[in-house]
Amino acid sequence: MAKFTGEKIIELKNVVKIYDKEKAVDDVSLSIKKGDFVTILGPSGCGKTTILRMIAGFEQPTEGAIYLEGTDVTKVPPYKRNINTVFQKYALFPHLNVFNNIAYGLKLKTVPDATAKKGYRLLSQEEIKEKVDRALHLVDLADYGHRDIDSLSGGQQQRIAIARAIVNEPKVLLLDEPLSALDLKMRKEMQIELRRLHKELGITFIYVTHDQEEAMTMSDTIVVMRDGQIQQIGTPKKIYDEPQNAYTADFIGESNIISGKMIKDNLVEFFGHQFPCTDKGFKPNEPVDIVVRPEDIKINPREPQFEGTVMNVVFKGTFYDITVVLDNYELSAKNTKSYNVGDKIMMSIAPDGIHVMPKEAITNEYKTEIVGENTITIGDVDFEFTPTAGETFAKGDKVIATIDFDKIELTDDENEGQISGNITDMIYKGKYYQVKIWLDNDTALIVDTPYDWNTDDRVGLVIKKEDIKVRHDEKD
Amino acid sequence: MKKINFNTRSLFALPYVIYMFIFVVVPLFMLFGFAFFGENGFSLDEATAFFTDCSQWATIGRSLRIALTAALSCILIGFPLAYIIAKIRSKTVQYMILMALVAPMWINGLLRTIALKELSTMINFEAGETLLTLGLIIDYLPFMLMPIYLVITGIPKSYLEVSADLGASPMVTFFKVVLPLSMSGIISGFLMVFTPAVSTYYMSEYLGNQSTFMIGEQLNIMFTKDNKSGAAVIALVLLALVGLSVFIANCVSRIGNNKKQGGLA
Repeated sequence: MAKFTGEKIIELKNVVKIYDKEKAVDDVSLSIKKGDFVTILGPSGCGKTTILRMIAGFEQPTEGAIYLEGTDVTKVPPYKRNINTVFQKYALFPHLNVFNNIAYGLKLKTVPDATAKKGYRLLSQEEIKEKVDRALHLVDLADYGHRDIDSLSGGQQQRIAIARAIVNEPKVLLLDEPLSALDLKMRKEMQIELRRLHKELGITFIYVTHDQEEAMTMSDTIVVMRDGQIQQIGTPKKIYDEPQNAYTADFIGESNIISGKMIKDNLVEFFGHQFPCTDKGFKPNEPVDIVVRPEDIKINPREPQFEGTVMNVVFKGTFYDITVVLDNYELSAKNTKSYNVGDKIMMSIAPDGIHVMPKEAITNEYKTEIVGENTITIGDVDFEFTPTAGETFAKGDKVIATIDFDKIELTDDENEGQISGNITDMIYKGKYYQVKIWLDNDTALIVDTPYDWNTDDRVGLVIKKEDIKVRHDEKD
Repeated sequence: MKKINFNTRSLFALPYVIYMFIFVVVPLFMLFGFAFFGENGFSLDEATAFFTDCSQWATIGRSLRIALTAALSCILIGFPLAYIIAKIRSKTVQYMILMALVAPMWINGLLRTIALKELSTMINFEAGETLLTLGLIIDYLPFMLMPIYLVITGIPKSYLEVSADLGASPMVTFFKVVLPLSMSGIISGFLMVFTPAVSTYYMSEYLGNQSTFMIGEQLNIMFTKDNKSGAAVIALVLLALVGLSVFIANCVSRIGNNKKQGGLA
């Protein structure tokens, strides 16, 4: 079959996967081109592995469909799909040696043969040996056929696992964080190796990882995921240069994320200064997030735009990592020249170095209901609020509570808070951290906090009653 | 002067070493002593008497045959049973079924044997090799079930997924992955059934007849005749039989897997 660009090999249509009432994958549609190296990137628990397992056939989507070369394979069992997987923990069969591990799939394979009675036959011993030897050669372990699995190092085991998958010449090769168990040096080598294999074999690779650097190095296309949803799909360069939202920007590479507002098309304001930029299409004075990569901040340029004080300088081999303070913001910059701590420096950012993104939300809008006089529930706990004059509420009314991000206080000891939850995301916004907190009843609140927390931290939340603004839910 | 350095960890082993010495090493020597030393010093009389007696060889052969039939039957019943239990989704249900199968072991073995005998008499089922083999199977099945169940539940799910991924249907996966990886459990189970079965005494006494005379009974006769030498020879023969079966079982498990996988022993 002629290979032409743009041919879809895998297609996911509105795929939903629910585990124990929780949406692991939330309405994902994705099409993958033949021969591409696609990486699904996201933190643990974002649903990336679930997507891979559904493509392999180990899991069935709760809703939606999966197509392989245009055929619906949603309900086809894994052993009937021409797709092979390389698992995170290799899972080489301990009772078989290297040769027999690789030959496992080949021994089950049938090839069309007009002379055979049924029109097909099994591969012959010689054919199997030839294919296994070629696969071993491809992964640079030519003389290892007779070896026991447990006599191999982690890196070698991983190569054998890859050989075992590619020897079947699958249409798609799925790789589930295959390098995560290897040390850094080995990982770098294997990244190059995988890239080479992809070029040599021409098979479509779908690679799952949480390592953004790995994704950037290897892929043709990156799919950024979060909470079971796709955030952005694009080439590594596009995702780095034009992140669609603050989350992607923060997850991919280093970045400064700053709150600001869009004055008008091509003009944005932050740090109390106005900067020309290339973005347009926002409402006048719309609050936005601005992403600036550290290497895009020019120091002491010919046309300076703003001033700051050097707070910290770290030598990184080929450049200096410079932390600059201005107006309570901490800004990270990269420069080949070093500066002294305490130096006042002038800086500028070119218009194409400024990436403007709509804010995901500007305030918490929490849907809940009235449970008593001036009382609502947030995360199964009762909260009193100060009603705005003229509004009356009755018990059972559906309402929306508005709480500003910076009006929620976080406490280390969850018992000190009125409610508690787990921090799932955290983005540093130059001046403060923006964290997303999942409460125990599966609702989320966003909080701006001056303190550095860890994801998965369990925290208490304190909200003053005058900071909760309640209005009727219009849709109700 | 060099200070004597007691390794604290080896010190902890001391009670067991003493125990092993008193209850394993010493009795073994005593066994050899009784077998080969009569009133007039070293003598091979009892051994010669035993090994030149055709009926003794027949007894050994019969014991081996009955124990082997029982052990192999236990594999045929125990493996599918263990596999089915291991495949049940709920762990609680798994444990409940296992418990029900193992619970009879809490009742005294002799009582169970007598009960079986009474039961067979009630339905006019004659004592003999069939009943004896049946009794052995019923009695020792849990010893087969447990090691196989543990090995099957210990097989990582990823092996089954890889197998399916490489094109194997569930049936093929069973024969090419589950069965070979369960081999160590089967071997352990086999030894745990075969070893006590080959030397059983009360089972053959209650459930068998003249034609099922086993070596355990021969041992009993020697004791009742107060022939310590003869008993010691039989004990050594039994020891050799069990040792041989362990050796063979381990060889089988090694052939089954091209990788050394520890069986029992």
